Amino acid sequence: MLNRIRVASLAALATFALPILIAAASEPAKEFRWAGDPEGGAPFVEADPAQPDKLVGFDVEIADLIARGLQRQASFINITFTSIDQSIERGDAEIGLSGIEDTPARRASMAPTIPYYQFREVLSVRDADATRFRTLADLRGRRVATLAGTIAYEILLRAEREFGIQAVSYDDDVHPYSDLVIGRVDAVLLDNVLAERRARALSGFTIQPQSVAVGHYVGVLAVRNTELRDKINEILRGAMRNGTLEKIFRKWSVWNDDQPKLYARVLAGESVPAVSGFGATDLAAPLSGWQATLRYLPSLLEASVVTIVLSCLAMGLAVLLGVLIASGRVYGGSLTQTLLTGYVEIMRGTPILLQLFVLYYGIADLIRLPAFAAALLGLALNYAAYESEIYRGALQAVPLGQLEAGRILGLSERQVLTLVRGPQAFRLALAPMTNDFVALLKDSSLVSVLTVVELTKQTQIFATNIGSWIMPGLLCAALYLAMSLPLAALARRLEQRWKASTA
Amino acid sequence: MEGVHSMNNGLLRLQEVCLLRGQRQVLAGATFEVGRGELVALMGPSGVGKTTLLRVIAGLEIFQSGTVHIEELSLNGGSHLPATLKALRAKVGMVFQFHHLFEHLPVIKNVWLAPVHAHRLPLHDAERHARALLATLGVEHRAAALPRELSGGEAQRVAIARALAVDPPLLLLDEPTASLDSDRRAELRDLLRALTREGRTLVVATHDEEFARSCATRVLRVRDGLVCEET
Repeated sequence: MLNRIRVASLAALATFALPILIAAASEPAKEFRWAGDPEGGAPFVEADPAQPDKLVGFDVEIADLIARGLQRQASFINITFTSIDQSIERGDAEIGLSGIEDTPARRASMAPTIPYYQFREVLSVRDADATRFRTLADLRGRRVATLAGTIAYEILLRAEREFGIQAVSYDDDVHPYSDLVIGRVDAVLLDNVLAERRARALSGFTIQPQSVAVGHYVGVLAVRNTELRDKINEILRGAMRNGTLEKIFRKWSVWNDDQPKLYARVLAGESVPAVSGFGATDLAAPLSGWQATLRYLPSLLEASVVTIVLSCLAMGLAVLLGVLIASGRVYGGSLTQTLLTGYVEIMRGTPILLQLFVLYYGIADLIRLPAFAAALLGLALNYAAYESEIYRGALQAVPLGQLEAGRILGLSERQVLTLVRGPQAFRLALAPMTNDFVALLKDSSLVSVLTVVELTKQTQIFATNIGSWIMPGLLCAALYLAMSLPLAALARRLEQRWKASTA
Repeated sequence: MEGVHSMNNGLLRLQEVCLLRGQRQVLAGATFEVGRGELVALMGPSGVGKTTLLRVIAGLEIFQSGTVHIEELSLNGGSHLPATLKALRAKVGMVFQFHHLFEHLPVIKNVWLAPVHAHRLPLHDAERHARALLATLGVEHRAAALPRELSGGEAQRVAIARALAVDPPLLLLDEPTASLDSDRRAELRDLLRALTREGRTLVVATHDEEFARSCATRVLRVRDGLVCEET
């Protein structure tokens, strides 16, 4: 009976599956799409310095290992580190692999793989401070840097409450260390893989031996892909058993005694907590949407204050500089005009992000601007170029007859500008200025690259930590509108009033 | 050479003033003289160069050659020195054809702006004087109005008040009757005569034959870039 069924099954298989198998053999293997962020760099994922169109790193090799196990062809999708979860959720790729941390929130909202690497969160301090700053508790009142959206950031938020440190969030893991060495921050908390990598490239800081917490790297999949996740887990377990993972990590010089212990626990079927050590309790229970909203709302409001203060100050400065530039371009000599035109074209022709980087990091050896000052100056200098063009156009739009009437009455050129031309031009410039102010309010989100936590950045942290953009996105949009709508209404009222007086 | 020279007779004298605009010779040696207290009408069809002549006298137009004497002051061809222009502003006032009242300021401020800022008169005195001028011209009730709220005749009276507020000995008026009906024209004629009685010298560019003949002490014709005495 059993044999008969077996024969029938084989016949059915031959009838239906054989053509498919033949077709599969003649076609290239199906793609295995995996997402990572090459900006994270070695040893995770980076462009091969010798061959920039090729990716290298242990996560690249693990992706290949999984693809081979699935008999598929690995295909890389480039996704920003902080957006990997959302990208996987919406199906851009099947798995995210880029030194992604195992967290309770990820376990609740995604389908992470078994952990394949154990890391330690370690504190790095300047060599001179190695004896006085050994733990987070020693850093009261000090600035401690880390990468946004990581376990280390959550640990620092806890340490803010507990030890009175000041958490500073960066978008990358290179500048925290360079800023540590030049004194912008007093310590960096990141995992040992990142810390050791930076220590090889940069001198002047010491990695403290005592670890603050222990965490793990995992691959992350969407919940609907648990079947694929289970297959991948089997492939990873096999690679733990046969030493393939060890070979990969040794090649990238990150193999250590923690890994055999982790593999033994995983292979024995033990449950491994996502995080252990300081701050683990904060991370342990994933928050519900409302709990998370309540917890993050104060920091979102605080970030809104940063956004509005920064935008108002930057706009004030941009208006002042814009007026000076426009006056120089309309009234100045040919050298002044050439220099100012050059300034305007450079500021308008290059990305504001680049200007912010140059101001904060590029000239740090000459002038070490605090983050907020660099952000303020960067936005103001950039927007001054746009404002000046508006004012120049408005100044030139004031009829010549108005200026001649002023001149014939004996007003000096300066008086004609301040009493006649300027006030009339300002009324013409008001509408485009309002437009620019709303644009600046939104562009202020770019300053998060300088470690200034404004509204968008805080929203991103919120979204990364709860694994969803819906509630953070709605709150963020509501707060931006709450800031921009009254400003637009005020400007409209002023415009109406002045329009009535000049129409 | 620009600067201060003595002038024996008359308040204004133009000598051989030539002005080329692109390829077009607008003034081709314009020469004439205006005595103190005269009301001289510059006549001629539109586009003949009447406005340009007034602008040359007011220092608003650069001419290539010739000389303009106003009292002891001389303007030569080429760009004018800032000091010469500053001295000129104290001597010459101008009422433009389209008035050019400051659009963003109410009437009263249009009138006292220059006395306060250019002539450093105390605001209180300047405002009182401005009100008196507006009253003389019959538009004191429009003191708080904005220029866009004025009729053509009112705007012109305000423009005259604004020009008189800095008390120039020579007042230039460009096509003053352009926007006026016959009643308003008669009022304007009376006003200009009254100004000459006060000792002010007026040069009026107009193509309004009847108006020119009814109020001018002398009529000059502008033709082919030259100025001829009417015979």
